[in-house]
Amino acid sequence: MGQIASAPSSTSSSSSSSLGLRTKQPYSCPSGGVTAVEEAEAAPAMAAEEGGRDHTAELPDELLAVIFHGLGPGDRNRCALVCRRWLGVEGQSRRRIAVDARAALLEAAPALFGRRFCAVSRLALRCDRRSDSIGDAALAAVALRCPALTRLKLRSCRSLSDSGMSGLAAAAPALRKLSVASCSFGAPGVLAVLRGCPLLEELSLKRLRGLDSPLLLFDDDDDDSAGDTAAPAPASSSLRSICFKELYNAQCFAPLILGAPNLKSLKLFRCSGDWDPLLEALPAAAPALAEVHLEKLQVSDRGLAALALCADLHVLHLVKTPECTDAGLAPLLARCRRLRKVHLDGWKTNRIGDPSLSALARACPDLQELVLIGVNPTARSLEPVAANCRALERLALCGCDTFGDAELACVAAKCAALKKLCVKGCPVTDVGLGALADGCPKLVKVKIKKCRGVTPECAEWLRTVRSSLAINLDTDLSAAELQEGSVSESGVLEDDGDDKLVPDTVDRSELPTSSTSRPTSPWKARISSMVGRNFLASAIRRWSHGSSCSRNS
Amino acid sequence: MNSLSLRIFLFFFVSSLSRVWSLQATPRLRSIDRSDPIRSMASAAATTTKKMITLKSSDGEEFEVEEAVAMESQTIRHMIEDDCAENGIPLPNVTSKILSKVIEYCKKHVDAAAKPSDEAGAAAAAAAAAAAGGGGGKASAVPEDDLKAWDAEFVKVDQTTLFDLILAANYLNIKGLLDLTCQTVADMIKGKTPEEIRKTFNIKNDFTPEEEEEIRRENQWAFE
Repeated sequence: MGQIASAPSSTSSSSSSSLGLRTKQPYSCPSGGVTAVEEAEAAPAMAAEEGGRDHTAELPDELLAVIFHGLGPGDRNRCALVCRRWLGVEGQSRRRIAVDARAALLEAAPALFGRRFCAVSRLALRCDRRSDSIGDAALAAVALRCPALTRLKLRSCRSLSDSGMSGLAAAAPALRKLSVASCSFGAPGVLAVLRGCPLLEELSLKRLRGLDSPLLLFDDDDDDSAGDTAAPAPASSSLRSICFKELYNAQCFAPLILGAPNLKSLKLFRCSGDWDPLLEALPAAAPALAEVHLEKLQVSDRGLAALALCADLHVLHLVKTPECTDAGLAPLLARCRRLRKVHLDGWKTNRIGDPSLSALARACPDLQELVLIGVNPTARSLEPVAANCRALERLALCGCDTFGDAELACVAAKCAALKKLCVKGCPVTDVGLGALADGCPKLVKVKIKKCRGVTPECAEWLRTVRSSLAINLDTDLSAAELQEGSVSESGVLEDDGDDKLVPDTVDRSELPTSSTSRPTSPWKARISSMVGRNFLASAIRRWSHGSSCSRNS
Repeated sequence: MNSLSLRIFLFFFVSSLSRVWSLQATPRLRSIDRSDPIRSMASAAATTTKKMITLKSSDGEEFEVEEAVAMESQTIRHMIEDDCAENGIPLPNVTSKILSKVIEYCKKHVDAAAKPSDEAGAAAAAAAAAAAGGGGGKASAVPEDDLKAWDAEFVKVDQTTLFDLILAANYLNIKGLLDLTCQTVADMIKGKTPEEIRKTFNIKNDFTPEEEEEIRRENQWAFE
């Protein structure tokens, strides 16, 4: 953002005579814009309105682009309708756009991408379920007109085939990130992209229907792929991140995963097959591996034992892999000492618990984020975690039947660095919540959801005691949802209002509102009986605040 | 300890103290570049008063500001570092009215950054306050909110001034001010229809109806 020489008079005169097409811009649009130029030549000079002048005309285009940068796509679309100059500047400064990928895009692409949005670097092509999607020709037409394209998302473009993907690779060789979901091409298409895009760093594939036939990659007998199949795909040295979701035949990509020496992140969600052999070969093939997500996969302790050799592991998500037990996980956590984020979902099988967490506590001082779902930790392991993981900032527990008031009090007392806490579907009560009044000095946000023992009154009281603390309380009394505890990738610790653990929209219709106090009165009686067990000063405080709350509510 | 060793200890202690004091005094003299009398004067004054820079607006007015405040502008910072700032810095693109606003912004932000933002200390204070039964937990959050509120008030100006500030922030290369002013204009655009935007900024519609229709058709391809 250096100095941009702006002489007001020259800028306004030039902007009034030309239209929005600034061919002297750094990203000059190719020849698609002939018709608009012809029509616009007769435009009169921009007359100053009486009583006001157009200040935006005094700004150079680059500054107008900075202003547009602060607007969302809807506002930007409306800015394009204001005047010719705004149309041009807006279109040329739009770097990121999501486009409806209907079949008719083939006709619209030359004007849309050739003339208007000619500097797009991040493109999403999304088709809805009812329409016919773009085909190979349209994809190539779009890609050819986006010379700056580096990131592409394809969603439900069912008409794309393998040859369409090789057309994409030919048209957009500078592609760095490709994310595909619900498309119908197969492994040859993926291979074509890998071969044609030597800079590809991130590859994400979800539900590729064309992956039915078990295609062996790098097989000399393979007729479909052109070129040298025996040599590894050229993109493999640039690949940093691979994510496969719900691919029935993902095993065919095993050579691809193992052929990426600079791989840093591997995420596998619900892909069929036995993944232990891949994990056994992985540490040697990808020594820089730092992030591993394994969810609903067939992985056992054997695979975990192999993963323990990835010394650089920073992030580990192990979700709903019932064949993984403490026997395999504890040694892994003991060896990967650089772990910063750990998500464990034991699916309530009780095969992961205190031994793994104790190992984590002993070995990983840099731990910043810990999410436990469907595991049953007790104070025996939580206390060492709280005491030894001095950098722990975010902690979430969901469906942990052994996480009660004592455990919450332990967390409150010992987790000095904790900033965000989320407890869902655990047997904590107001007593435990009260412990947060003096604990966790750096706490900024607390979410308590589906914990029957916690009342809104207690949350109110805590808000008055610690006014800088944001408390999000959602009392839901339907027990059915306590069974289901899953964390989406965006996590339970995000700032969004909606909790993504369980669809809350279903619950809220059945929820009694907090104003109906019938369920809460037994808990109030319990609070007063529990008071004597707590520290003296806080007990006295709670008495006085609790009684004032009940008087006011 | 007998009195002799005590006196010896005190002697060494006091002499070492005086050595420390004299060491503090000399660096000022040692670092002076004797060939540059202005700089030697400036650096001799450095430890006692803050270095002042003179900025000259396009209409001839001169503003004396602290160096730290002036250096919020990358343009001015480079000039100072390249030794072009000896006789004041002329800013032919900036009027005095706008320059005084810019200086006000820079001063406020330099002062805000200089305040000790000790989050741990504030949080500990909050915890202590909570234990004592009080409700004061907001101490650490207030300065940030204060500055944001001040920024919001700062840009409540007429359009002429606002756009002049944008141009000045760009010319002087002050990122925070440029972001603030550009976002203010963006906020004036948000949620408005094209006609409302034109009215806000006195922009003439130079489209034919057919062109407008075509753009609307194209807009339908782009998701909001």
